[in-house]
Amino acid sequence: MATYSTNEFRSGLKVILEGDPCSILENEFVKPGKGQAFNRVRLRNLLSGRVWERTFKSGESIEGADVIDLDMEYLYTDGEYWHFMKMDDSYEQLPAGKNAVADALQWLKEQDVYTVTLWNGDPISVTPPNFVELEVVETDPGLKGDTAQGGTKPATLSTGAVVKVPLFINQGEVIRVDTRTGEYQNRVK
Amino acid sequence: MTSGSPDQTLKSCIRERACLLGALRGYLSSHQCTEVTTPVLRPFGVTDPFIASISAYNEQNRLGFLQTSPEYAMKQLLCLGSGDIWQLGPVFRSGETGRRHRSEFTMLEWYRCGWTLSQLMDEMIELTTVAATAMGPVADDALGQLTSSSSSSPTKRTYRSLFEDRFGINPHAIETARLASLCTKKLGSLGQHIDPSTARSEYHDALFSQLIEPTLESPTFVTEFPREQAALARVAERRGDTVALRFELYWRGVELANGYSELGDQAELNARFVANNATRKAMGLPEMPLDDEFLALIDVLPDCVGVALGVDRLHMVLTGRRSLAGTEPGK
Repeated sequence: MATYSTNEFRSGLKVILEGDPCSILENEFVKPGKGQAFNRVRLRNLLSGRVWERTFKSGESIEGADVIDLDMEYLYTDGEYWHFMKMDDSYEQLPAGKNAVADALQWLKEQDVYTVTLWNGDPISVTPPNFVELEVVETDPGLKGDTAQGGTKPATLSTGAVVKVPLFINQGEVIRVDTRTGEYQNRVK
Repeated sequence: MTSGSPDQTLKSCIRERACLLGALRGYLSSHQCTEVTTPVLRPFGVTDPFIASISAYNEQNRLGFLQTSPEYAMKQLLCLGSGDIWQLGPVFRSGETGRRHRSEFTMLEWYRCGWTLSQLMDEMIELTTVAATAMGPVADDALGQLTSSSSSSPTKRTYRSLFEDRFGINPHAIETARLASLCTKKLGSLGQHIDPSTARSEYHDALFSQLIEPTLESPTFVTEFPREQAALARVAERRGDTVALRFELYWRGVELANGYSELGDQAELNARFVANNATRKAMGLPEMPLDDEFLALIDVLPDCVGVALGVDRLHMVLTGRRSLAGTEPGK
C-alpha cells in the first residue's frame, strides 16, 4: 500500500494509524515563523468510530489504508454474521460481524442496498441510506381528528427500530425515516 | 444589491485592506521612519533550516531567490547609514499553505536605531491601535481588546514563564532528554519523530506551537526566546538563563510579528549560518549559499531593533476572522 505525506492529507483520505484504518477529517498546517512545521490532523477511526486528534511533523509519511466503500445488497443474518452480496457480476457474498453492522442493524431490510466499508476486503462498517422506507408492525391504533395536534406515539418497524410517528399512522402502513436522526419523515402510499 | 453578495464582499475586503495599508504607511512615515524598497529577488536565500526560499530562474540561468523577508537587504541599508527605515511588500516561503499560511504574503518590516525592544513593542501597539481605528466598525472588537482590557494590556510574558505555568519547567535549563520525554508525554507520537540534529529547538517549537500558542487569545508579547532560536538576534543573560533578545506578538492564538534586538557581529552570524547549513545537511535539505553581501557589512550595523509584522494576519485578526480566506482580494 502507498504511503502518504502530510502535504497529501486530504479530507476523506484513508490511512493506517496505530494499526487501525482511519479516515482523515481535517488537516491543519501549523508553523512557527522560523520553526518546524506541524500538521494538526483530525481523523475518524473507522473501527471504533471515534475521532482522534494527532499532530504530525510536516513531511512525515504514514501508510495508506486499503479501504473502499461498496454498495451491497443485504441478504440475511445467521445470528452471528450479516451477509451482504456484491452488486457486480461476481455476486460475491461477504459476512459482516456485529461491530461492523453496529447501529445500522435497526435499519437492515433484506434485498435493500447499503454502503459497506471494506478494509483489506473485509467489512468494517455498514451505513444505511439516509432515508429508508419501512413497514409499521406495531403501534397504538390511530386516532382520527388528532392530525393537527402534532402529537406522537412510538411505532415498531419491521426491522425492529422504534421511531416516534404522528398519531394518525396505523399498523401496516409504510413510512419514510431519516436514518441519521431516527426521525419520521412521511407516510409512503 | 444585498450586503452579502460576492461583489459587495470583495469591495468591503478591498476597502478594509486599503484602510489598513494606509494606516500602517501613514503611521510610520509620520514617526521619523523612512520608506525603502529593497529587491524582492536577490542572489541569496536564507539558511534557516525551516524556511524554504523559492528559487527564481531566467531561462537556464539561476538568478537567485525570492526573499523570505526583507531583513538582510534592509540591514545592509542600516549599515550604510540609512537611519530608521520601513518597508511594506510581498515575501515568499515555499510550501507554506494553510488556514493561516500562504506561500506569498505581505510583510511590514521596520527598524529603530538606538531603541530598546520594550520601546518597539510599545510602538507596535500604538501602530496596531491606529490601524484598528482606521478600519472602522469591522475592527471594533479588536480595538476594544487592545485598548480597554487593562493597564497591563497587552500582556508581556517571557517564554520561560509560559513554560513554567503550563509545564512546570524552565525551558532554558531543562536537559534535552527531559524535554524529549515531556514532549512525548504531552504530544504522543509526535515526540518520537523529532530530528536529533535539531532536537532541542524542535521540542520547544512543538510544545509552544501546539499547547501554548493556541491559548494566547488577548494580545500578548512573548519575550526572551531559547538561545537556539536566536536567528539574527542578540543573545544575553537574563535571570540566570542565556536567552535570545527577541519578542513575538500573539493575538487570538496567531503569531503576528517577530522582533529582534539586532546582532551586528559578522563572526557570530557566520557561525550561525554555517551551523544552519550543517543542520540542513543532516536533514537532507539543500545547503544555502551564505549571504556575503550582508556578512561583509554587518559588523558596522548600528545599535538597533527591528520587527516584521504579517499584514494579512493582522487584517485577519483585526476583523475577527479565523482564517486568511477573505483577506486576499484578487487571490
